[in-house]
This record gives sequence, structure tokens and C-alpha cells, in this order.
Amino acid sequence: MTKIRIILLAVICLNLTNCTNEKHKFPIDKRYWDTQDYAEVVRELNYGYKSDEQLPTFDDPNTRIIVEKLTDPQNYAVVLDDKELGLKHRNEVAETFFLRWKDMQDIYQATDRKDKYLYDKEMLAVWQFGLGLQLKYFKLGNDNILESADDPNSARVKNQINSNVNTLIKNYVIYLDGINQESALSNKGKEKLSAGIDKYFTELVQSYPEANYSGLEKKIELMEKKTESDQIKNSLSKLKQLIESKKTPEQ
Amino acid sequence: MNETFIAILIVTIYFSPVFYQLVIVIKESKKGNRIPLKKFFKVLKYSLFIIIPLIIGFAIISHTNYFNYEKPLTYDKYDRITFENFRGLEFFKKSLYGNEHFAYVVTTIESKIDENSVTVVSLFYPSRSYVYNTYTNSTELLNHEKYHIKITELYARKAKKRLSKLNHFSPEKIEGILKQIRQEERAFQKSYDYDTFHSYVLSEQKKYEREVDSLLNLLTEFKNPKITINDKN
Repeated sequence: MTKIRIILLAVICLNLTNCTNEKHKFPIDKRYWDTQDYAEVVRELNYGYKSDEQLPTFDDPNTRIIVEKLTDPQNYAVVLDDKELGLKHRNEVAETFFLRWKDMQDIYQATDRKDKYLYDKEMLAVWQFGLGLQLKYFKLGNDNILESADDPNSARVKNQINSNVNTLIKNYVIYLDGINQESALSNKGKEKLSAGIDKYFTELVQSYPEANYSGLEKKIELMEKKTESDQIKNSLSKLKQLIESKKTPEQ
Repeated sequence: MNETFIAILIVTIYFSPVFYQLVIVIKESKKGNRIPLKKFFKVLKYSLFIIIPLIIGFAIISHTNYFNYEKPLTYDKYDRITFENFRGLEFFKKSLYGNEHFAYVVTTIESKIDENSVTVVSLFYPSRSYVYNTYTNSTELLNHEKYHIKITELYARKAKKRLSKLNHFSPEKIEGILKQIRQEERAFQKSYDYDTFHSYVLSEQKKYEREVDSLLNLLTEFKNPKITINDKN
């Protein structure tokens, strides 16, 4: 009987030494997260937390690093901008990052009983991560089409490229839907949303100055009327002016 | 189960006769019986006699794989180096930032001071260098690791260049230069791994390759291991 007790005690001690306080594991020491890291991290954030458990946030100094790493554009840029890597390879990586980003969008969607977002800054950071990613992803996709086409100047190729750019613009327009939910955002959230328009939409228009922005312009017009935030109004107004400035006289 | 748990479990099982004897000693000491104490020390002695050589042997093999030994290679064998030369064993590190497909090289700058000359060579240690799979076809990984060898050679040549500028043969000064060079080499190796993120960032990898190759070319005159220092008046 005594022997059994000793063995039991030893087993309990061993189990106790095996316990760690770290509940969720993230590769925060890793300089760049690759698509595999994203798969694991996004899975953990989507399914590894209990419904009432606090997710990593910018405001929590202990978990800030996780959300900063998660939304760090360097993670994709370091591969997608690397001209030493092949175009096809970069395109494949971009596609995988895009799929991961789609899964990332579910992480910070929770709202409270007053329909306010619990993690608006984080949710918008995830959105902005995707806006930056899509700019590179669609560019690589189009470059790949041009490279593999028999005649890059053919109407078919041009149509395909224009269609991709239109899809990109449509995806960007979805970001502006956030303005419809602005009552669910905190003031800092509204600031972040506005900063996203200033940064990423400007990059979009600068990258594709000749694209058809009629759908985006319509959206801007409607959102300008709807928003109560001066900052967002100002960002939309600046964007509208930028699009106008890129138009040729015939347009 | 994590590795710490497995290690504790093995140690506990191995020392279980010692723990058992210890319990008896505690029990019997209350009755004033000293005989179990002698038995306890005997069991402890035999347990340690067996495990200490095993630990030492394990540590030696972890450091240098003498079961598959290949003597250190000098830089002139550089072109012949493949992953088949990576013969080291790795018992503790299972992955590098989550990547199980990793490798590392061990290199050093060795020196020998003679009467009026110094021999400086860069060495690559096959039996201390590790790759997850000797037969891997990952040329990028091999290339990254081989540039660590080139960096060591580069600093060996830099050392010889600095030594060649000495006006007098002074072992202290020579040792000082070599110590400084070794520190600089380690720092450069670290930046190389950090900036290329172990070859993940290919543009950085190529930048380093160009820089190292060009510097090695510039120091071709210091290719010879031996450098003679004559007193200059």
C-alpha cells in the first residue's frame, strides 16, 4: 500500500512539473510569420479561446505583441516584394496569405450587448492587413498573367487584367461598409478606419490611376452623407478629390 | 508530452531504487536502525557510477559525433562540401522557429603563432555540423550554410591582412587582433542569420552572397594560411 502511495505521489509531482502557465502558444520570437504560422495562429485565435476569454489586444501589454505580429504587413511583404523569388512562387504565397486573411476576419468580430465591437481596433488592423495584401496579391496575379500570355497586349489579356482590378476595387469598397457600422466603433476605431482610407485607398488609386472607380465614387458619396464622423468625412473627401485628379478630360 | 516531462520521467524511473531506499532510511532512522543508510549509499553509488559515464558520453557525442567522424575541413575543400559532410547529431533542438527542416554549421578561426609567422585558417567541423536530413536536396539551405563557412574564411583573411600591417612581431598584439577578429566574425554571422532570417529572405541572402564574394576576392592575396611578420624599422 505504501509503495502505491509513493508511486502515486511521484506521478502527481511529475504532472505538476509538467504544467505550464502558458495557455496559448504563438511564435512571437520568430521574425517573420509565414503562411504555416498564420494557419496555426489563426486556428488558435479562432478556436482556441473560450467565448468569454479575452483575445490579444493592442491595449494589453502582455498580448499586444501577438496582435502586432498578426497584423504586421512585413510578414507578407518580405516574400511578395522579394524580386529574387520567382513570380509564380510569390503568387502562390500571396494566394495562401489571402486565404489565411479570410480566416483572420472572423477573429475580432465579437460585439457586446450594445452592439459595440469588443475589438474594433484589432478588427480594423486585420482589415487593413488584408487591404495591403490584396494590393500586392492582385499585382502579382496580373504580372503573372502578363508573363504567361502569348500576347500581353491582346484584348483578352487586357480584359482579364481589368477584371482583376475591378475585383480589387470591389473588395476595397467592402472596407467602406464599416462606415455603416460606425456606431459600433469607438472613437479610436473611427480614427483607425479613417487612417485606413487615407493610406490604403490612396495606394490603390495611385497604383491604378486609370481604373474605373465609379462604384467606389458612388459608395463614397453615400458614406459621406451617412457618416457622422468628421474625420471619416474628411478622408472620404480627400479620396474623392484624388480620384477626380486622376481622371483624364474625356472621363 | 513535452521533453522536460520525458526527461524527469526517465530520471525518476532510473533513480527509483534510490528513492525507495531513501524512504526506508527515513522510516528506519526513527527506530534508530542505521543499516538501511549504508544500503542507500551503496545503491546511490552504483546508480551514479552508471549514469555519470553515460551522461559524459552523451555530452561528447552531442558535441562531436565520433560515431561518424570526419576531421575539420579547411577552406580549400569548400567546393566539395555537401550535406553529406554534415555529420553532427542533435538531440535537443527539434526545430528552428517551428521549422524542422533546418541545419547549422560549426566553423572556427584557428591560429598558430610561430617564431616570426602566424598561421591562420578557417575550419569547418563536419562532425559538429547538423542537417535534419543528410540526403536533402535543399540547395538553398546548403547554400545558406556554406556562406557561413565563407564568412569565417573572410574573417580569417581579414585577420591576416591586419597582422600583415604589424611593424613588430608581438604575440600579445597578434592574440589581440585574433580575438577582435573572432568577435567581429561572430557578430557578422549573427547579422547574416538575422537579416536573411536563415535564408527565408532571399533578396537579403543574395545581397550577403554578393558582399561576401566580393570581399573574399578583394582579400585573395591573404588566401595563404601563413603570414610572416618581419620587424620593420
